[in-house]
Amino acid sequence: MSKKMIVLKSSEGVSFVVEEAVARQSKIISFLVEEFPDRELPLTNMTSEILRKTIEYCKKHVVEDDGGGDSSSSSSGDLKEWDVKFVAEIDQPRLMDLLMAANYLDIPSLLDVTCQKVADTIAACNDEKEIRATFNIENDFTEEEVEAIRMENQYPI
Amino acid sequence: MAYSSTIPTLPLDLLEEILYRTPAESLVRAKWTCKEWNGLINKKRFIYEHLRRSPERFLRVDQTVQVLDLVNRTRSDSPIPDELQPSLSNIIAMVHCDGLMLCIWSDKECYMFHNLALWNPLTRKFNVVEPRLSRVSTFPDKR
Repeated sequence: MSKKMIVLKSSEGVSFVVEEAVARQSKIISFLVEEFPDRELPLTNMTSEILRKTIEYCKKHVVEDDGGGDSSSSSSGDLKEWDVKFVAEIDQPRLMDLLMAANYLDIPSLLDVTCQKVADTIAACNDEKEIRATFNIENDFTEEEVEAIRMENQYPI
Repeated sequence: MAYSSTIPTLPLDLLEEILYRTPAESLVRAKWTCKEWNGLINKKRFIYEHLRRSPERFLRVDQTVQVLDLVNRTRSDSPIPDELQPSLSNIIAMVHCDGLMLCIWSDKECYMFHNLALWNPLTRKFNVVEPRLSRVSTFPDKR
């Protein structure tokens, strides 16, 4: 039995042929497939690398319903473990792009794991200076403001 | 346009999604990162939503205050606030709700007089509730 395939095109114009069931985990793609069947879907704000990662995630998470019986390839425990490894292997800038892609394509579970990974990175920082350095955030507090806030809150140093 | 996304360029709703998943202990530090984070983390709406999404944890008070997460087996310790230290033996009750502690202790000089304070063990803020009248003894009237 042949599976229905669709084509997704990255910002560099690279085409990815994906099983429809895999791609449909994105609510946006699911909608587009119905509106424009048999059409290539251009994803102009996603690089090939990020699109490939997104497809990799969707492939792992697809629940096949045509095999009969328990055809879901992984148990939820295995899947969780796989997710942790999946985001652990991605560096910070790519993780941000993947998070944006998950948001853009509307894939709630991928958005959840990417946000959680960033949250864990924040939690692993010892202080605000480390957070700024990790995420390249500019400190826009003036000296006076910092002093005023510290006085008011007795911020433990 | 590879790797265009960074935290400072994230839409605010995505930054919120990230910070909702950051434990409260870390938010205490994270809110000094920049003004945008500070404004967000201090917002009432954010605080309530963060609380709603946070897993339930236990508070234990003995020499310190411990916030225990029995599922993930983590704990964080906060010292008993300085303001309360001299009155440790006079503490009548500590009641907690949503991670805040209401502390009630009797006054050293006047045993009948009760002090009230609201304490947040995570931010370590300790606010004494000033009585509105000179003599308000609303707590267990021992007769």
